[in-house]
Amino acid sequence: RDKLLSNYEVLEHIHDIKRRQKRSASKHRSIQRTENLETILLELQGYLKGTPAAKQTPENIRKFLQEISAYELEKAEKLQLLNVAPGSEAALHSLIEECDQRFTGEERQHMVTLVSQFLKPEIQSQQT
Amino acid sequence: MFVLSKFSDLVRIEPSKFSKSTEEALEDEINAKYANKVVQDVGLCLCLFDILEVGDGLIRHGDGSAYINTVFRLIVFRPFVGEVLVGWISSCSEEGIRVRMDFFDDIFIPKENLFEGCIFVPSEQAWVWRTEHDLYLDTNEKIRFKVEQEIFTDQSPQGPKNILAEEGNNGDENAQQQMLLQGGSVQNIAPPYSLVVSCQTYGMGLVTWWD
Repeated sequence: RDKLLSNYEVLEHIHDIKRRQKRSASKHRSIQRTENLETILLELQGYLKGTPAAKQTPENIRKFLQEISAYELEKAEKLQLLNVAPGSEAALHSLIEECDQRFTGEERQHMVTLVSQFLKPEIQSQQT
Repeated sequence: MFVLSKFSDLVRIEPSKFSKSTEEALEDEINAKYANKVVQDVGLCLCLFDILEVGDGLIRHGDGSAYINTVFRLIVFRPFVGEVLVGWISSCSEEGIRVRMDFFDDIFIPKENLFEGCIFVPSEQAWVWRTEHDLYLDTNEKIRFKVEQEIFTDQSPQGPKNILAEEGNNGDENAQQQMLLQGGSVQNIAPPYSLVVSCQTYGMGLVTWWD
């Protein structure tokens, strides 16, 4: 029934919808009907732009996933790494269960480096 | 945070929309029906992702619209238990903190789920985490939290017999007025989908504390 989606994929999809809407703007679309959709799309876009997903690209994500597959991580954990892009080991702790027991300090540091390399949260400056 | 859920539904297309292509018409109808709505035990539906199967359109007696059996996938907002999310503090009370995200408002942190050493300051209506420094949890601050529990409340209208028997009734105005008169701070109208979250471990709390 369920397939997990990363924030990036959802953002891509929203852009897609907007593009298609622009293309068919000439056709008459009843205004009331799409009000719900417009609201939710606007809110979603606003939210996702403030997350690391706004700056990710498919190649970066693919490379990141390739590198991180060296470590044993659950699918949900990899997804969280993508969505949250932790900047420190402490943040890693909250995302990955039993981080201390499963990975050594070096491995954890390496994971943080990989995150900042491929999923750079440059948005930090815009948020403040 | 987001999942794809498969839905199967009978979609009705009015004759005025026959000029559009089938996929477009279906997409519009589905989006109109499901966007920004909560489906019990599934989550908050956002928008259509794709259409998997389309049946033949049938037309009923006395109604010119086409009814089409469709199987499609929707993007649904449904964080899993244990997921870490970011939101904004919308209000603080003695019971806990309300958090909102741009598209979803019903997130609550009960006071038990806050850091140890957190105290509520009534004069400022804010929570403070007393460690070596005094860390304030102010409104409109970005906060990171972990999902503990999701609550789905059935919103279908209740029959008249059930009014007096139940407390937290959704549908009946009389019961709600009674509750208001009692002056409780209880929320009469339970949201269809709400999250109980916690803010207790490493990396949780205001984003500015950890970054």
